[in-house]
Amino acid sequence: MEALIKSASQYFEVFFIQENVKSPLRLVDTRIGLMGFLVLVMLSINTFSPNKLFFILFNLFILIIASKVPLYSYFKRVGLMPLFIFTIMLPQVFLSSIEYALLFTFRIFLAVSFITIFTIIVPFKEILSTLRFYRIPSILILTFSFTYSYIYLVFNELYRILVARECRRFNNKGYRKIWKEGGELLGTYFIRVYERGENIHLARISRGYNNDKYYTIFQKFNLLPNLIFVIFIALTVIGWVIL
Amino acid sequence: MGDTLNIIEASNIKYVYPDKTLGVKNFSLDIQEFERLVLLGSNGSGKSTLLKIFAGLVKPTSGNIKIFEKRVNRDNYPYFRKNIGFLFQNSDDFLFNPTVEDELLYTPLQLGFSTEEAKNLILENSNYFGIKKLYEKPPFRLSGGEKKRVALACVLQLNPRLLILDEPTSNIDGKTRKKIIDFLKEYEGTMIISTHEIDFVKKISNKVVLLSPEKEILKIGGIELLEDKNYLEDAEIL
Repeated sequence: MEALIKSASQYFEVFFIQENVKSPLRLVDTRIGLMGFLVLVMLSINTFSPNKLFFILFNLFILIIASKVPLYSYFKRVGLMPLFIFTIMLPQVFLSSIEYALLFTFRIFLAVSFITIFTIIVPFKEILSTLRFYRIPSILILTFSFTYSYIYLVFNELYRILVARECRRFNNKGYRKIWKEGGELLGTYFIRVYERGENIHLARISRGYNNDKYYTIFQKFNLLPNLIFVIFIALTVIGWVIL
Repeated sequence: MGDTLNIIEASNIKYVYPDKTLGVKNFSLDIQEFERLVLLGSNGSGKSTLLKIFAGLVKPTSGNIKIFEKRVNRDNYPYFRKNIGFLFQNSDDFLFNPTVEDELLYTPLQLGFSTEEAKNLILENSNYFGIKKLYEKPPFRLSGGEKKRVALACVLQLNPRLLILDEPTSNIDGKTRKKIIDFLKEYEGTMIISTHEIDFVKKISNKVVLLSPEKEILKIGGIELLEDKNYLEDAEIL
C-alpha cells in the first residue's frame, strides 16, 4: 500500500511538468493549438459511438507520431488512467452495462490523452499567456497557476515523508499498527504541506507579489504548420460528423 | 538620530508562534545603513524568525519595529519590497515559478516593469551567477547549488538597499560558496545574514550579534567576538 502511494506521489509530482520536447507541433501557435486540442477533447467526450471513438483514437496516434512525443513520457502519464477511470465507473457495470462503463472509460482516456500531449509540448507559461489572451477571468488563471505551483509541493512532500519513513523502519508490523501510523503520517503530511505552503506564500510576498503578472510570449507566427494543424482538426471534425 | 539612516530599529521584540512556541524575546537592536551584520546562533535560536521580522514579512507579537524609519504597514509595503531583498533558507520554498526565467522575471514584473525592461534587468545577474543556460528548466529540477544561485539572482534583481540572507551557504558546493562570498564582499548596501558558520562570518561581516539558545541577544560586538570561546560556547556554536 505504502509502495503504491509512494509511486503515485512520484507519478503525480511530474504529471503537469513540460518535458521540453522538440516537437514540430511547437511551430503551431499556442493560441491555435489550444483551440485545436479543445476541439479534439470535445469530440472525445461528446459521443458514445465506438466508431467515432476509434476514429478519434486513430487521430490521436497520428498526432502522437507527428508531434514526436516520446511514447515513454506519454504512457507514463496516461498508462494508469484507464484503470483509474474504470474503477470509478465500476458501479455503472451493474447499474447500466459493461459496454457503457468501457465506452465512458475510453472517451475520458482520449480526452486526457489530448490534454497530456498538449501539456508535454507546450510550456506552462505559454498556456497561461494563451488563457490570458482568450480573456479567461484572471482569478481562474491565478488559481490555475497556484495549483500548478502547489501540486508539485503536495506530492513532493508526501514522497519525502514516505522515503524518510521507509529508511527508518526496520521490521514488519501488524496491519493495525501500520494503519494507526498511517493516520499519524497523514496528519503530519497535512501540517507539513500547510507550513510549506505558508513559507511559499511569504516568499511570494517578499518578492513583491501583486496578483501575479505574467508576460505574454508566443512563438513567431509561421503560416504553414498552423495551416496543416487546422486542416488536420477540420478533417477530424468532418470524419467525426460523417461516422 | 544622526546623519546615517537607521535601516532597522527594533525595540523589545517578542515573537510567539500560533502554537505558543517562543520564536524570539527581548530583542532590541538598531542597524544602520551600510552595516554588515551577522546573526550568529545555534539551530533554533530564532535567527530565521528575526530575519522575517526585519523583512516586514512577519509582525512581532509585541514590541516595535521600524524599517527604513517607516512603520510596518500596508502603505509602506511596496517600498519595502523594492528595497529589501530576502533570501529564504530553503530554496525550494523560495522558487515557485514554472521555469528559471519566470523566477527571475517575477519581481520586476510584479513591481510594474515592462517585459523588455525586466528582461534587460535579469541579464546581468544571470551572467554573473552562470544561470542563463538554466532559463527553460523548472527550478525544482535543479541541483542545490543551482537553486541557491537562482534564488540569489532573484533577490538581487532590483539592487536592494537591504539584503537579508538566511543561511546563504548551507547545502551548497564549494564553487557556489566561493561565488556567493565573492559577491557579498563586493556588495555595498546594508546586509543582515544569519548563519552558524564562523569562518564565513569572518569573511563578510563587520558586526556580530550572538543569539543564545534561549532566543535572546547574548552579546553584540565586532568580529573579534568570534575569538571569545566562552561566548561561542554559551551560544552553543562551539
